[in-house]
Amino acid sequence: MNSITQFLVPLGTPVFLAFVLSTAGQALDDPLPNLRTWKDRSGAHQLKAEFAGCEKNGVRLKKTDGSIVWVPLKNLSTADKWFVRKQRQQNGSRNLTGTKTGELPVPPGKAPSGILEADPAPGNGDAGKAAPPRRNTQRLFGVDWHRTPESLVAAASSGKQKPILWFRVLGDLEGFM
Amino acid sequence: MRTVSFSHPEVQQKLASQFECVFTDSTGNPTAGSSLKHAPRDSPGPCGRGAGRQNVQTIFMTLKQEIIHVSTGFLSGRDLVAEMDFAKSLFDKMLQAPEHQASLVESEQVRRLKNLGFDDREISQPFNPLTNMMIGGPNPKDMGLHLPGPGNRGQNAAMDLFAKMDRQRILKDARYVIDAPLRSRESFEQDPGQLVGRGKTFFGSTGSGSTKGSGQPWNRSQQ
Repeated sequence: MNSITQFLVPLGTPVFLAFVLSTAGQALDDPLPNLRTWKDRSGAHQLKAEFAGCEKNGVRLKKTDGSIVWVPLKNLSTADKWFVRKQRQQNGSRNLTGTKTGELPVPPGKAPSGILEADPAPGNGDAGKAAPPRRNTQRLFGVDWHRTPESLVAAASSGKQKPILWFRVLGDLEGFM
Repeated sequence: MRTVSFSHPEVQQKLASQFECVFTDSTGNPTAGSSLKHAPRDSPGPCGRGAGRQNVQTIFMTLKQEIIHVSTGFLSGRDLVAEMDFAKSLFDKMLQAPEHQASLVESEQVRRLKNLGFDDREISQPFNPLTNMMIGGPNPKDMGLHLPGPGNRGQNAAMDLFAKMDRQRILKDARYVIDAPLRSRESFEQDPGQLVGRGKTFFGSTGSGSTKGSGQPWNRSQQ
């Protein structure tokens, strides 16, 4: 028996470990993960600062000179709103945007790494506007994903004649296998 | 599958236009495996078809949530397109013959297997324990390992064995549907182990930057 097949059979047990090492494309974490360039809704103004927390309906930003500024959430770009939402989720705190999961506007273009990315709707040439909010779905890779099979009940009664593709996976839309 | 499959433009186009898409997290399910967690745009690690079958399942259903086709484990973009095409074609045929949907699912699954080269004996015979172990076990191709060929007899024998593992994974998925056409989603969720097995597996890649554990791999692998 070939040495590889000898290796294979003993590993064919209910418990196995297939740990793949790849050296390509190893990204390094930013040493200052909260130091980012914040942009306003129009994209015309920007500010390099650290996220210093949420307050009322805005965020506190620590500028590089150490001073703190408060910026209303509504004035932030969509990508920055997503960043704030992510920070709040990680901190387990209330969503200051007042929106529910899945109803957040989708940022146009490239979102910050690690944040649910949304592709602009086909034919939508207005990169400055967010796509309309959607209920019960999240958008990833240009596809609106229902988050539970139960949420398809409405789709079933809508008269659409499409099969369901159910992607069942370890993780969520913001990170999975 | 995040990066490799969903970045495939044909996959995105078909997902958006031809399917109602659902995404659920199986973390915590007793039959779920373990993996590392990768952000959607992290760079991919090498992966072979069907790898990590406990970690990922692509399940096609009617709008009544009856299962018509399944594919477990990793699928490349090209493979995912092929699976989607088959499921869409089957679904369209079912719309034309609503009174014969179950028999149609069964016959189309068998027809597909035969087109893939399976014979009647393979399709109908029960799986033996060794086959089940092979399906769940690691295939070197899953880890991006490729043996040069044409090589010596030993290498060829190994490649034959790995190809058989891929075939057995495809056969097992199809048999799950053939054995119970139009199985309900609830029925699947009551016992996913019938499809993905009951072993505890870990399959992960560290080919990208931000990886977080999902499913507590080390605890699971010690069970």
